[in-house]
Amino acid sequence: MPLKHLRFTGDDLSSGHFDVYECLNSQKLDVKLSMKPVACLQRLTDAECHLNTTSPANTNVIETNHETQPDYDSSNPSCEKTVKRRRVRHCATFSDTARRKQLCDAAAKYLQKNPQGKVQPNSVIVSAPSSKNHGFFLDFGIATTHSNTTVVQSSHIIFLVVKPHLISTVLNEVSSLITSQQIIISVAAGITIAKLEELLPPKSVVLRLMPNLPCVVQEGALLFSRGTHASEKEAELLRSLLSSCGLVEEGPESFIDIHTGLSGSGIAYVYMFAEAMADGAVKMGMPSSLANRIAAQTILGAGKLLRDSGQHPAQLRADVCTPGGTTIFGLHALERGGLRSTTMDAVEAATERARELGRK
Amino acid sequence: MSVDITNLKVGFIGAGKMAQGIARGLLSSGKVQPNSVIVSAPSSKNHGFFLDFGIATTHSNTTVVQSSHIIFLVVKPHLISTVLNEVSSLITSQQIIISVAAGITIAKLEELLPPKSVVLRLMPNLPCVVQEGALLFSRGTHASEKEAELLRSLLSSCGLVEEGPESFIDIHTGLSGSGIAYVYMFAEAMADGAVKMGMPSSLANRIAAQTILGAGKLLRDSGQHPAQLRADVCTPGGTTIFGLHALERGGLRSTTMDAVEAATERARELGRK
Repeated sequence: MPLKHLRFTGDDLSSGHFDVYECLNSQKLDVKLSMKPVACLQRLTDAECHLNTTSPANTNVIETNHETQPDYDSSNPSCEKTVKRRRVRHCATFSDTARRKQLCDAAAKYLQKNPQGKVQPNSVIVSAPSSKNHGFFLDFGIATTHSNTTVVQSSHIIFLVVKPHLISTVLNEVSSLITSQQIIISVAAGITIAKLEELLPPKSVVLRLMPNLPCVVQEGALLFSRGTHASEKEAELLRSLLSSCGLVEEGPESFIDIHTGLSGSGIAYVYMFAEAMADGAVKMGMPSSLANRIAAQTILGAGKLLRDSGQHPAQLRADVCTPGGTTIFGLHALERGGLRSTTMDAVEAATERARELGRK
Repeated sequence: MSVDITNLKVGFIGAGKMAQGIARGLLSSGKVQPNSVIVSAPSSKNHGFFLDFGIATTHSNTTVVQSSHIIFLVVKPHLISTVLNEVSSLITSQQIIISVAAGITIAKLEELLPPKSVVLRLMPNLPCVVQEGALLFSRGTHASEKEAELLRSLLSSCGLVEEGPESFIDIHTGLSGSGIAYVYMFAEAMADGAVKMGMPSSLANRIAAQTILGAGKLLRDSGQHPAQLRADVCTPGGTTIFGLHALERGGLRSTTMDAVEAATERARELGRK
């Protein structure tokens, strides 16, 4: 299902009435809400505004957020209260924080009712012994239960996302209910495919997945491996389901420990690196809170450039070194201090620890 | 400056990557329409980028100055004198001059411009081109809170915008300008570590890049101190603390501070020349 772009129109000098509606043509996107990118936005040119009023077939109004506006003015003929009215005015301007929030909320509400994804909330069920996390899922319209067997009996695909020491207990409980028509995906660190297949019926379709923390903001790095009876079809399905979580890669099981050392623990290495960058600036005279904000943004920005360029970091690094400039002086200090060697040590140490834990 | 924001005319002298990034951010913010922007550069090679956005281009710096309320000087530092000598007489105190030229101090700019000129100095960084920049600006003698607020508002879609005294600009250069390259080196090393452990290089590099982006996003959006976040992710006896110990053993933090220091001191040195 192709993503339907949401168009925001409205006049920032107005009382703040915006329409949120679905648009069928999709041109290149250039605008993004920095607060919460829940939707792709498209900026209308003046020409397009006029085009829309004369080509209603191109657009369908789904919802307006007029009803939530306290300053609705019934004496103003351009104010509308009812849902499903088409409205096209000038482009919205997004710089005002309050307006942005309005748009984000409207977009979020819209997307919640009209999910763009491959899985609908009512196709998902989650079990856990306590209710403390149930609220999160219920807010999304996802059913919750305390019964693992219910989950197994009602799902084609089952994610095992419990702590490693609970895997045996859980699988012993539900194993007899699992058929080879189902797909089991284990996210438990250190639990090998061999172990999983031992606990499950023969011919069970198993995949092992190692995500990392930024999955929670859809910028994760996820690596999965296929079990004995998992085919390319299941791999493709998993890749497709997880595509909005971040980067999804497949590899042999031996890569999972490496992925742990690089990308699971790597998050903490980046945090330490950020702290040190900020502290360097503090030493030079910048206040700590400012330095930390800038360091965080710098890392995010550089990460984005690196990820999106697809180029080798050494090439990108060379491209930004002005001869005799500040950057090469900084890099020389990093070389002198053996930054690269130390960082490799960290990935090695964490990977070896992952292997060690996997053997226990 | 008392012009209605909806009629704001913005000019760029210089059409390179940084001008493109800033222009893109201005348009994204919606505060400025393409037809209110004009860009000059001696050659036409960068004109295409702007024309695609509906922005007018020219070879004439004087045209830009005469038609703009706000003028971004986005040329290489060694060209600043030439450009300002050319257009200085046309600049009024109703206009706002924003210099993006590294190492050119506010004092120098004010010397080259008419008295009472409103000047601000801006240090962006490369990820401005993808609207995830870190930008620091300082006010000149005649720039008030009003101009600062305007600049902050205009640049808000370029990334993080902060104000500070001029002394912070060199630090910002060392931290955030050059900092991009430190991150690249760090990413390379993370990937190489994985290669040593048996992962192919292209996969390792993709994962390293994504890891850094993801961690950066978590860090930036959490607003928490990185040390707190770091503590939160260390499972007792788990893989992470083993990795972190290696970083401590190798003095990662000290080395990284050295880098920011060295680059900042070089920026100060260059600023004195």
